Amino acid sequence: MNAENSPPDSPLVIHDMTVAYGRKPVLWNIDYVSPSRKLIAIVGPNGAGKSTLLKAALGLIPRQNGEALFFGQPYQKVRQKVAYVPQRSSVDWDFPISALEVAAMGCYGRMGWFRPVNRDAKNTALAALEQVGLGDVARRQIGQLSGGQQQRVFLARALAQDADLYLMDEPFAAVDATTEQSIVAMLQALRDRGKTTIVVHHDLQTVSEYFDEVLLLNLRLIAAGAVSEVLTPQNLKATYGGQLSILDAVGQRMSARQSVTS
Amino acid sequence: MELLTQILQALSTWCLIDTWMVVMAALVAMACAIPGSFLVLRRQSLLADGVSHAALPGVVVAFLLSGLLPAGSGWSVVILLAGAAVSGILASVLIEQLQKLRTIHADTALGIVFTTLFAVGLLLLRTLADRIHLDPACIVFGNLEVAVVETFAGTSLPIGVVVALVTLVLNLTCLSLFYKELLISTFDTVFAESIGIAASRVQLLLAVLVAVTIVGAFQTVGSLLVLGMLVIPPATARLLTYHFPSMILLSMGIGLFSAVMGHVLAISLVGPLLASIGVDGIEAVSTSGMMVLVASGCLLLALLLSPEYGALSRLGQQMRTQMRIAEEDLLAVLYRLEEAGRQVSTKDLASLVAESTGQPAWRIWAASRQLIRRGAMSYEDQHYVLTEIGRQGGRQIVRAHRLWETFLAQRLGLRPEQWHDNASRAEHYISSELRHELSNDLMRPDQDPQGRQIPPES
Repeated sequence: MNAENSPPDSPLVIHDMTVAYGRKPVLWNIDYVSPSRKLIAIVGPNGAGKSTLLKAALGLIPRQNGEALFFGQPYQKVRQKVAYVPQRSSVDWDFPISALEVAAMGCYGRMGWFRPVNRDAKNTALAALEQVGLGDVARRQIGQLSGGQQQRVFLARALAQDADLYLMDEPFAAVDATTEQSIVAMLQALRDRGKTTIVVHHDLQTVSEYFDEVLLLNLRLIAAGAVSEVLTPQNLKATYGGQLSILDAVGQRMSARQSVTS
Repeated sequence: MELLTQILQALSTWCLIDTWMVVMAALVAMACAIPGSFLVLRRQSLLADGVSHAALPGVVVAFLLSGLLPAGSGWSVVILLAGAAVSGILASVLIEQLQKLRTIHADTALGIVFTTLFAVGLLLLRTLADRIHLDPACIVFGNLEVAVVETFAGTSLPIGVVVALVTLVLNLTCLSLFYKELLISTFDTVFAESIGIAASRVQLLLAVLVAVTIVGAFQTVGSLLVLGMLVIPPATARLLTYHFPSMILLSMGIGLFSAVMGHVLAISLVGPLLASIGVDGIEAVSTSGMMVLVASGCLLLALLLSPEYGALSRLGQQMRTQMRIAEEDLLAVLYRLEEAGRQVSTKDLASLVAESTGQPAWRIWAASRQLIRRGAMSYEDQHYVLTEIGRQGGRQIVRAHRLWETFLAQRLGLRPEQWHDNASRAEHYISSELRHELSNDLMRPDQDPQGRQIPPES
């Protein structure tokens, strides 16, 4: 299946997307069509471009080439069907703000400019916090929460967005085993309610246990599909093996503008 | 006493001008607190410094334009602030474009844009010096006394007070209109972008507010000290609260306090104070300087007294922890003695605890008072006896100690001479859940590696 004849309701279709930092490409010509109602992992080594894939699809960093369609439309038109969870380390957790206020930010997208944060938003946020088991610490300043609780605050914010597609960047990074289990249960509950979730994941060991589908990435898309079909020794070797150093070397040269003949 | 009389005497000369000066300074200080709170949280204090330079060309052009209007007209105020806003927008756009080149870092881009605009302003100022009444020194240092003299034609209302009021109202309006956009973009830029709140637009808004606020404050505190009023009150409030709306209100309060106290101290305290050490002839000092000093004083107090970050509360917490450890040490020693069937006099006990734990004698004494008061032990016939409460406490510490030694030996493979000191430190931090977990992990041992019994939890 490729982008041209993909079903229009596919949550995420990426067509020939290339992303570069400066002149150095970090993702090459990605083509991907995500299935609906599945739990999908993006797996690959450090520096493979996993987070970049999500950010570029959302237009948070510029694409050099290609496009990304959400439910058949450009992202700007369907923002409210998509919830993005950035890496936990991307914000200052000493910020003077409570878990409830962070979760309420999930409702900001629906509210539009000029509108104050209303009671509805607070109720939605509180319900989302209760769903992730943080109802009793809702009024705490976020810096007083544990790492696992902080990650769940981010998830509660995504739940408050009430989207159909969830894009999560490393939700399992530096959380304890209990939190990991509760996050997995939450993601599976989302899937059972017909939602699609794409998760940047760093632990190859748990992929088959947690996820339905997997996307192997290392600067380019190695393979994507059902976990059992994709996690083959050849694919893993292609993802984690050294064969891609050529691609990286070319990228380096492009950024340094070295000529090929030298 | 004589100082007090002099201070009161200096204050007795208070007149309408003083009132206007305080009102103007207070309005400016409160206006500064609003964009300042965001700058502090965004770690962009430098932006204020830069904008205060970059606003110069806008101010010069605005003065030139307002010179065409009749003196004492309200429009000059609007033109002045608009000039500042345009400069702020210009500076922000230029910085963003420079950063897009990717060959220049963000901080370098700030440095380039702001100084270049300042240079343009300086050249304009020199070229047009004959045509406008703009004193560079007044911009840099501010001049409250002069600012309140110029009034609207036919009234006693100083133009400067209205400028400050307009700035404050503008900031309050923008805060209430864009509260959630400013907040979310400051806290989590990437997420804000993902829901369609562009960081660049929020940054532009903030830059305009900062520029307008700074220009509104030029005459009051000058372009140098305005940075202090933008940053110090919010930084102080940040130490005192974990609630963002309270932080803004508190910084406004600190700004207000600094303005009032700044002027009062400037006209009353410094003269008599200097006279008392033999320096005569100084009646009053700069209100703007004193304002910033008062704000800094508040910050210093907050650093000492803040419940979360304050040096005093940290010291207090440290002392409470030390005391708890001393109490636990005492209970553990008594428990071990009881276990061995021994009883020692209070004096010998104190030296035994001091020797085995390194606790100073006064703290051991204080800990024993505390334990008796809490009913953990009692004093009977020259020695201490554990009560059931105390025995329970001692048992848990000894249990933690011996479980930990077992863990060190079995799981970490440490040598026997490494066990005791390590466990003596760790025993005070092993909670009942952790003891439970440790015990399970080690297959519920009932003896430590040295063959001593590990007591049950209760």
